[in-house]
Amino acid sequence: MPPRKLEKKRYLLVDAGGFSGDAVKLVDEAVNNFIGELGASKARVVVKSANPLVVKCARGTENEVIAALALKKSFDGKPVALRTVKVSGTLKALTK
Amino acid sequence: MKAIDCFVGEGLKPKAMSLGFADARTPQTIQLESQGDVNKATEHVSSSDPKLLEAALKKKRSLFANAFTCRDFNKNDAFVALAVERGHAFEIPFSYFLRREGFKRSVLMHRGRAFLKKLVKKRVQYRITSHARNESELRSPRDLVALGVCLGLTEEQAFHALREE
Repeated sequence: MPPRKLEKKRYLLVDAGGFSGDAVKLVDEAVNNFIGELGASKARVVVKSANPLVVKCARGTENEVIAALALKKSFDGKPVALRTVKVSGTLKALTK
Repeated sequence: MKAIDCFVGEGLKPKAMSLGFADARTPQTIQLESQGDVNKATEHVSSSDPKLLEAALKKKRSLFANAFTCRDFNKNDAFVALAVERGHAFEIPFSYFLRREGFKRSVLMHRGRAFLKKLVKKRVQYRITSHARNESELRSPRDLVALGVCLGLTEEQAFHALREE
């Protein structure tokens, strides 16, 4: 596919503060609670890695996804704090 | 980006700075509970009574006010008018959104969005702060910017709301 036809994405490096549970479920719950199923489908959120937590989303929706993660305060009855450290268009630049 | 968190709880400055803030402040807050407290207002004020907050904004200059504690703060035009007249700034506290969940959070976001729209229109100063009481309520500057964008600001306006002026 020509590069111009590829949908652009953003990668978020998230500091999960030592969270050791199911990262996919955590991100899924946070995003669905805040932006809902319709918003999540537009954001196309994917967890690329759990440690460090890297979340992929569609360009233009990154602020909604960051806010959704930041507003998550507990998971499975335990407190969590998800803080976005860096936003980048490529995985390579994210981990530099 | 040189971001400043203009309101964090006592002792949270080192943690805030480790999250990427260039500085974090704990202003002296006066919680207005009676008419007598109005004279004590020096730096940061908040009140659950809109009339007391109005009185403080009318009496003093260049205050940093938290209107989110007042009932129907988004409908109160006097706050914005007084801020224009006397050079006050308003706080957008992140932790207020964090502490609420579900329907209550969505109502607060609606009110915050309406209030911010008025502030932007009248060119009143506003600052996005974490307003954290403990470490778990602290967030990175990028998180505060994202909340600002969700409340209807542009990214530039949200970044500007974290800078010193």
